[in-house]
Amino acid sequence: MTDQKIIQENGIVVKTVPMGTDCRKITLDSPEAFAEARPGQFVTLAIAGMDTPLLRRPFSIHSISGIKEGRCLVDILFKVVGIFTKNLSEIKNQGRVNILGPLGHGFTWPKKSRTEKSGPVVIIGGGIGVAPLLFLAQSLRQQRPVHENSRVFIGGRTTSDILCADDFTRLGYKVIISTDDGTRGEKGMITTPFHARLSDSRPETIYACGPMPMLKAVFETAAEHKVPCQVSVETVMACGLGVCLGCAVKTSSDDIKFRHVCKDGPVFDASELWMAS
Amino acid sequence: MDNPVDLSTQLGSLRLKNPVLTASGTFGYGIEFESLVDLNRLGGIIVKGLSLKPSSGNPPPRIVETPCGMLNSIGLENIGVEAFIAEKLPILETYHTPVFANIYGSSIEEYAALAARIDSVDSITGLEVNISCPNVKSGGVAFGIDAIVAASVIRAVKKETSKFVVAKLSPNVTSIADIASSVEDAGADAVSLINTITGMAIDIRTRRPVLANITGGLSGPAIRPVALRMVWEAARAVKIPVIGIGGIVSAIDAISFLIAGASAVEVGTANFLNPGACMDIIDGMESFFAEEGISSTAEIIGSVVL
Repeated sequence: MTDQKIIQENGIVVKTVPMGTDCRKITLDSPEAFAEARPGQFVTLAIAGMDTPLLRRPFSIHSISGIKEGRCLVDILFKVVGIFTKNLSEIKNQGRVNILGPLGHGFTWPKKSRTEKSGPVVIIGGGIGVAPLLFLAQSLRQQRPVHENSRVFIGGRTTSDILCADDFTRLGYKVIISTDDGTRGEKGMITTPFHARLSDSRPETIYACGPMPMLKAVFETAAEHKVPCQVSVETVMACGLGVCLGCAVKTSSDDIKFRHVCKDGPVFDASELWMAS
Repeated sequence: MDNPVDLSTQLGSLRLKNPVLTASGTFGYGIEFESLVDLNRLGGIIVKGLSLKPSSGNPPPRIVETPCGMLNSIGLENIGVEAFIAEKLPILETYHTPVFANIYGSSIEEYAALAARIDSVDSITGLEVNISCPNVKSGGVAFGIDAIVAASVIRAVKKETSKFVVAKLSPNVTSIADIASSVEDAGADAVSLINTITGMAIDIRTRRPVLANITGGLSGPAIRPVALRMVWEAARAVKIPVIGIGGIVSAIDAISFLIAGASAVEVGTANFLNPGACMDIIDGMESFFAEEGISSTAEIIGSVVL
């Protein structure tokens, strides 16, 4: 991987779009260096003049939606859950947000020659977990046409939790949806249709982001079918730079007890975190 | 940029280009900040606490934000002194900023062994001795809460090294002045304070402590007034230089510690909020000195008007 420069600067809010009932997509006019960001990487944000909460907050990059004249548009998709996200959602256009990044280790895919055909992939997101997955789907699509058996699974509690389904469809992915209450797509958890359809066609890689229990379940299924699985995980974080070591997660190995989400992750090969049962 | 004012400070036998150092555990091994901070502008870099062997630290959750601060129980995870010297130090050596190795042990012998190892490394300017960690032999009571034990750690370290030795004091004590005097008598070249204040957070739904380690160290602006009071008390009690630490996020904060009697400061949690915090603090001090007609740092150190 090439060396990426981490930068810290003020981004300017150029657009805020409501998504679902309690989510927002905010577009930050940012320095061009963010165009180098890879899917699965994240940024940390701080709002000028706001010291409660104290710490910066990490957000995965949802998309790089434009690059021009030394600037770059960074989309962040987030759910309003606390004081920080509430304040972030209320920043008016032209307001400033301090952005630090790109940070962490993102999704990876096998390097292939131009002529080599791409295999099918499965992308699975739970709730706001779709946030980093659109950027991934876009980047995969940029490399080569979407395989006819590639699927995107999106799960949520109710219909308003289902985000970005049309964006994935537009890129050429077949989208399968489930909701806990059955208001959209299949009724129940997304891991059920995911599990059922995995035997139809074996994907090259499974990419997942969502709540930890969902990721664990996805990993179990992936391991059963012997498919490589990459998961993007979330933890509380202070620095984002690999220095505070606060974002440790337990690994499946005895040699290396902990990994750090901000530096080793947020995307991990799922087998680094869990042992298949 | 030319320095319009002289920010340099005398720390015992050491002359630092300015009084702003990075606090251990908040600035990694320094090189993580290469693209964000001009490391050459720092007064000093105090690296992540080093032990003889690598340490994997405590289980998660390790941190939680609390009002105006954060609790951490990282458990002193680090790559070990040998890996630091072999892998990180060669990069740090390319900068013109003094490097201080923060060290900790679980016995006095371990502190002594670390001091002896570091003594042979030319590019390390000094040691900061973390005496806030548990002494395994006395059932996990921290070395730093007992004046006699604290002094014996410093004495053991001083015996093994001719480098500049800073004793980093724990605030979880009855009299900071007594501990400061005691390590001064043991030969410490300076004291730095305060380390984090022991705290706790509980999740009322699960009724469990938020941190896996149950308790953790509180840092950030929440502890600043306590730190300032302790720095003032320590500065009155000892003749060796005092380095002020505790919730410093701005030049105003840093200057108040100098006025209280600190000859330098360490910036910690602020590095998480703003990786450029030290640069902003140095710039802010320069402007303040220029505005107020203060020609040297020495003029302001210990100038509190009572």
